[in-house]
Amino acid sequence: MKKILRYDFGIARLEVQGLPDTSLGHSINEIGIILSWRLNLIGFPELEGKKEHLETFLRTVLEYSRNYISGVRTVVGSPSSLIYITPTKNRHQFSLRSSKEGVKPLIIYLDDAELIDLTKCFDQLKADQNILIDWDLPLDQPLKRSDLGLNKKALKGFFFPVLGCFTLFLSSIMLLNIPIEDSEQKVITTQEKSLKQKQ
Amino acid sequence: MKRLTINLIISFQPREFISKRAFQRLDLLLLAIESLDTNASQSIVFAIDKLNLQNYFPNKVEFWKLRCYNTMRKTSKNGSITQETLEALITLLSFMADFFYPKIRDLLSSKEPENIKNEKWDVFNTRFNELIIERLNIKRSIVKKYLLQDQSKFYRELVITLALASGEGGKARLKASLQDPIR
Repeated sequence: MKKILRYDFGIARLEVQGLPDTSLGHSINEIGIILSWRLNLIGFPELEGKKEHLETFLRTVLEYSRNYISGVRTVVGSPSSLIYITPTKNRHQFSLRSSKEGVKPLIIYLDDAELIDLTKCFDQLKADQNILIDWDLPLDQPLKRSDLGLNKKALKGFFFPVLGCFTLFLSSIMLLNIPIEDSEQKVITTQEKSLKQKQ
Repeated sequence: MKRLTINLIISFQPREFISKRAFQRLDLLLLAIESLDTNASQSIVFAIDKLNLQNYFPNKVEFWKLRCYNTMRKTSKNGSITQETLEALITLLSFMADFFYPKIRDLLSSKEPENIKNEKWDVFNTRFNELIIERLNIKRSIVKKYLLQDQSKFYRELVITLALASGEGGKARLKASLQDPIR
């Protein structure tokens, strides 16, 4: 009754073992209940877990790739979650935390090609019509201005004009405070002096 | 109140169409595909037939005319393309990226010997620069920037975009990224 579905792409091979949910009328070729999964990345330790782990893994990798295609290299996930990905100089650091106590997190580094292999392997899983699971995955949406760092850029763009205006305002105030009367008196006295000299 | 309602309607409208900058990126990605293989332009014609996209791109000339909506081109034209044509172009690009994925992967893999990888990148860069000079208006500052800036980073970003845009899953990713706010 158990069914195993395999997804291969590049260095990634994912095996999903499950059962059809007969209460929902699934056929024997479909999987409605995931019992376990195994991910084999060539050159790295084998990973396995339950449906929740796979869902978190899938969501984190696809979100990271979505950001990466827009040129955004940010950390996806948090240290407390089962998986989080941090971009390093030339690679991508995957921190995988085991749900078993006392097991140290596994850290693996993938290069761009390996990351894309894994993404495409997960794309296959996501698109498979035989997996009838309601994955809690974010839709591919345009990123927000803040995600792209555009708000910071806009602030930087405003900084110098605002500074210029402020300097102009300050200098105007200073000039306005210079007493005019004294200078007028000086002019009058010099004029008087010159008149006296002439006389 | 009326003005506020109008503003809200405008801001909540779905961004179905892409900006000029996004179309420029799409055309650059097609140029990148042409730089991967000397026969890529011929492969694009076969792909159009295979994907049944003849309604949108009936022949090479029409396809070239469509790409002229890229304002960076030597002979560009103003206007906008329909949503269906844009979808067809994204489908074609994702298919081509998938078709050339082994070549793209070779460029991105760190496992390749350094000298072989450098050689492959040199071939790609030379061809891409030739295509830019041949087809784009190099008097425009943005095109000059492409030729003068840190090319390895710029080309790598384009190739990564192609890799992530390949296949069906990649198509959705690419479409969403083309609708990002303009940088």
